Amino acid sequence: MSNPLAEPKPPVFAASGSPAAAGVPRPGSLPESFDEVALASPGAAERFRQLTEELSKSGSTNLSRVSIQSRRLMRDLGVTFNLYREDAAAENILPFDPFPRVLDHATWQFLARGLEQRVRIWNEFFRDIYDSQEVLKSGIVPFEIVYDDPRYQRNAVGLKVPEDVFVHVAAFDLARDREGRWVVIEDYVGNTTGVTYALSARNVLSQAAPDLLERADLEPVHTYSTELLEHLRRFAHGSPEPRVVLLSPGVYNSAYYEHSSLARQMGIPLVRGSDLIVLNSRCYLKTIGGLEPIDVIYRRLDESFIDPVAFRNDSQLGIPGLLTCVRKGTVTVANAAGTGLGDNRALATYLPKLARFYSRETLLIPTVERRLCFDADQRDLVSSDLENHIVQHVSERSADAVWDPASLSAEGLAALRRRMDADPARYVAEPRLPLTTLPTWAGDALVPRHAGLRCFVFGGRQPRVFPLALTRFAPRAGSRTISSGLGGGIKDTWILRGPNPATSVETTIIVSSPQRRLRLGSRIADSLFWMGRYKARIENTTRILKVVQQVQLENPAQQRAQSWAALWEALARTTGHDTHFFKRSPLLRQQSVSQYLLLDRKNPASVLNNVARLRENARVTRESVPPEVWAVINRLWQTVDGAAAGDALNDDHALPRIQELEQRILDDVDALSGCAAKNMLRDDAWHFWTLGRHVERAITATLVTRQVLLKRADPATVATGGDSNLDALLRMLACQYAYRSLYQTRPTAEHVVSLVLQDAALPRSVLHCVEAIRDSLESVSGPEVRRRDAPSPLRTSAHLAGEVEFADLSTLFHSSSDGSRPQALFLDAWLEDLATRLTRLAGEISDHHLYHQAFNILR
Amino acid sequence: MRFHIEHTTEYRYSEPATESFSELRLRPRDSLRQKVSRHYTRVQPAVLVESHTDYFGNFVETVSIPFRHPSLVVTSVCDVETKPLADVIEAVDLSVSEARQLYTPNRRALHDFLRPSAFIRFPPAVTKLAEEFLPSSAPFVPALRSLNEYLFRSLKYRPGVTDTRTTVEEFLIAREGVCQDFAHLMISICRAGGIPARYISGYIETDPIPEADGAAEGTALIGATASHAWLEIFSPNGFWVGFDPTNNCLEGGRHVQIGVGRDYSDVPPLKGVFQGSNSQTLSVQVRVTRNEPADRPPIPATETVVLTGTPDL
Repeated sequence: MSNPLAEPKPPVFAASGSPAAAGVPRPGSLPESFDEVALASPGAAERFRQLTEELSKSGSTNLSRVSIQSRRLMRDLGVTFNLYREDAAAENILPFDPFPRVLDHATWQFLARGLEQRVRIWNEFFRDIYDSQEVLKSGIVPFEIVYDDPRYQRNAVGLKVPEDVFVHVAAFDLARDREGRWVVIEDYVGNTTGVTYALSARNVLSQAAPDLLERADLEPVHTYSTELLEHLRRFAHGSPEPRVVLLSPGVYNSAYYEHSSLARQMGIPLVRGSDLIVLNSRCYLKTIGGLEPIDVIYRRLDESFIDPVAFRNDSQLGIPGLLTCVRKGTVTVANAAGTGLGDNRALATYLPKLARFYSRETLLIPTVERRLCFDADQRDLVSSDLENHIVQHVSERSADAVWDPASLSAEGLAALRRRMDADPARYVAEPRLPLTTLPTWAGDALVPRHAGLRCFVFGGRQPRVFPLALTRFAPRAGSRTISSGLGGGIKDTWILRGPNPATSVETTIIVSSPQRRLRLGSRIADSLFWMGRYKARIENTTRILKVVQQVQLENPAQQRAQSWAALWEALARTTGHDTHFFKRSPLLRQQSVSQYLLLDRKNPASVLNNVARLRENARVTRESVPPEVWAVINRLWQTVDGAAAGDALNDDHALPRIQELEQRILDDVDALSGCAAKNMLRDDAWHFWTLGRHVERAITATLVTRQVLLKRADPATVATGGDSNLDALLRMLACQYAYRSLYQTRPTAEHVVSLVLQDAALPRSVLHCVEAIRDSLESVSGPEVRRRDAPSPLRTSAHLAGEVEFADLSTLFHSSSDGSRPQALFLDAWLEDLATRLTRLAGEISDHHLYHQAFNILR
Repeated sequence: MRFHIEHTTEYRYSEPATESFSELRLRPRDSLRQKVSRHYTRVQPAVLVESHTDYFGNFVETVSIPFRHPSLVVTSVCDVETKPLADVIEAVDLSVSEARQLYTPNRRALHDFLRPSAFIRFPPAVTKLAEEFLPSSAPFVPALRSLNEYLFRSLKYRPGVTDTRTTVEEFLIAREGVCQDFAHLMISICRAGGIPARYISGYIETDPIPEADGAAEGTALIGATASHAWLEIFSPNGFWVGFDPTNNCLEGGRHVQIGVGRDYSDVPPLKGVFQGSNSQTLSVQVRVTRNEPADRPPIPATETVVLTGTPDL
């Protein structure tokens, strides 16, 4: 073993003020703080020296230049983490440090062997605990530790898992103890995080300083995601074409970036609990085409949430009944249910005994010295010297379950002691480790910062460490906490290749034929559908409001509100209000209607709120929305959010600002349509976006026409036409030019109705929209559409298209010799009925493709 | 005694639910003291019902309804014969502290039934009762009997005051509640006193049975619409013995056990989640009828019970 401590080297460089500069360590006992560079083996130390030289030069690899560039790359890649806060939507760019950590080949091999052994032991432990519990019966591990841990899943006892593998993916945090030996300070055998940050670090550094990496001869890491997928597919229950999904708690989780980017890189669906459903002990993914059976669930969701019926009743995140599938062996959950027990820090201290018990081995890498407070002797040791310990909750992994007594106030310390005395079994304490640091770029110099190392292992019969590690560093000098939530960052980790790189582990690849593509997930389709609807709503509200205001400005003679009643009613109806809303509302008198409809946060139908919903839907479907489209949606959001932050739009002087804002919204919406048309594949996602837009447009066109045409004081004018309201109607639907080029006269009611309802060539006509809906439904329904048993929404839309196209509306405008009232009423009823049926069609689409009421299982 | 039991639970949703998943624990246990000769569960809307055995050996059925449904009706029908064991603790002549000693070899297997759990807590009021009724020197069986009686006398059975989430502390303050509260409280006191206790859900025959000569056999027993809950104490001689503090008696032939657990949360008759609706209303109907055939077949004495997943015992 070439563990590099035989003779510690003096630091290669020492920044001013660094405690590391204080002196060379005595062998066998490190000072309170010490730089990793000094502990490096000759090979790694040499590389550290080269790096320092290289990065200090004023070339393309100059540190400050690489640093600035990598920050930009981190932002473009979207390497973010979420902080749990009230405004949970906040995403933060992770700080990146360009100075890498170097691990030489021999050190890495030692760590790899040790961690592979560790995963094997953990797996043996879970296999035993969730079966006959020999380790408890023989008293190797006190049963209280297991039975009193809420993460011991009684429901998982007796469940069989494929190949007896419980731990499919594991991670470990490592540090050096006072003797300089590597120790594991944290075991992650239930749910592991961090791997994509390690991948991003390499990605960013290789783009920001390509020549640096070219010369570096490192173990390659880019195959991680593919190997992970292959690894997971091995554990499917006998399915020849295993389907794997990644189960995430959703966008509000701090690791959502990791979930979405891993899913994208593995090419598998990122799902939430509600995307899956259990039926006859089989787990299915809801897709727009029906239910797809799922074989492996790579869960990134705490196991106590995965099945709300079996584990926790208050969880909305899981899949009710998932455990019945696991019990029947139809689905593999990775890591297996019950492995969360491994979060118990007390258990990790029993690993040396477990290694002997299960396989008569000696543990290669020890667990950090950790005192268990439920043991009276150990508790006394801790209690008498509390200031020199770090106290932790026995199994909670959050940052507020760790206490540093040295930094606590007298009251804080007393409170901690009280808590520990009240329930000692809940606490463990670790003697303070030395603070090992790495050189980190602080903008003008390299300074030492406390740094941690996390390694990743594939579990299985023969666990395998992947040559990838995550190095995180603390934000401030002397800071012990390494947490991205507290401002810490990441750096690349260089694992140097050995003399004979060809000896890397050979693993068999399951060669599979190309898979049938999974259809689009229903939730994603639902979001796209609603994005389309919100986009159309934003456009409609803005344009109709703009037209109403313009018409009034253009006809200053008619100041009676009554003249414009029909237009206001149209606006009210299409924004989801009662038709008389604006008549009764003081908004009109106060000139604040623009504020209300465009920017009011309290009006659920305001453009601002619709943009917010559009953006939120786009955000939760980021993996299906091209980045260009996301950028335009963000711009639209900035337009309205920025305007809402400014002065309210509620006086006469605001008119120019109102007009400008309306124009900007309409321009942004146009840009969004164009950008989506240009960048989106014409796949299922596109069709649902299209469906949403056309459903909304058809409904609005119908309602506006009805309101403007028929709800007027004098029904006789229906037939005569020629009033300015008809002109306004054409402008509201953006078809005044189409009308003029077609008819070359002032508008008449008959022609207007014919154009906006029945002209298939006009993109905003009801007929065009219904035909577009029909065509999109035909595309998503697949080749069976011609059959008589075509899905109902398709049949409904085809039926509606025919009806709109062939309705003989002209008779309603000519046979009015005895007064047009009955015909007017008939048209009114026809339009109202059309609007109702269009709304119902939207519901049918949702039911059939999105909520699975159709109940068809694929294959 | 033979019983015919029909148990109907109906959930009616405020709007139709688009999907739902439920876990049912409705089939009475097979054990030395009772034998189920027939059981079936009917679900409306009709779907396949699957089953498994849980950690505590209870029979669990699962129901997944993936389509829109305005209500869910679950009907469990069974014929069961109870054959109460002879008074197995009569001869147990030990003090409480001797009993505690005898639990030691079984400490691991009994651990779950000695510790607090979701509904079992040891607030000061509980530990005080434990010290009062279960002092080390007290004789084991009489101490438990007097605790059983004390709870019956000092607390009032009254439905509607508490619900399925009521804690032991709340019950001690309200001093009124239902069988579930009585059971939780006595379990808490026993465990706080170092005596293993577990929760039993089941049925009870509530009506007094008229004999041929017109006189009533026994007295009317209390139970919420014949659904009932009580507890079992682990006796040092290896038997779990049923105590019913709601009725101030030991478990007898008129008790039918469904499931066992640490507390109510391990054995709710019906537990599920649904989507697409905001709220639901629940109605439950249970009918327990005596069903004595002229000649009943003897229960084979060698019958054993296999508890999957349970660590020994």
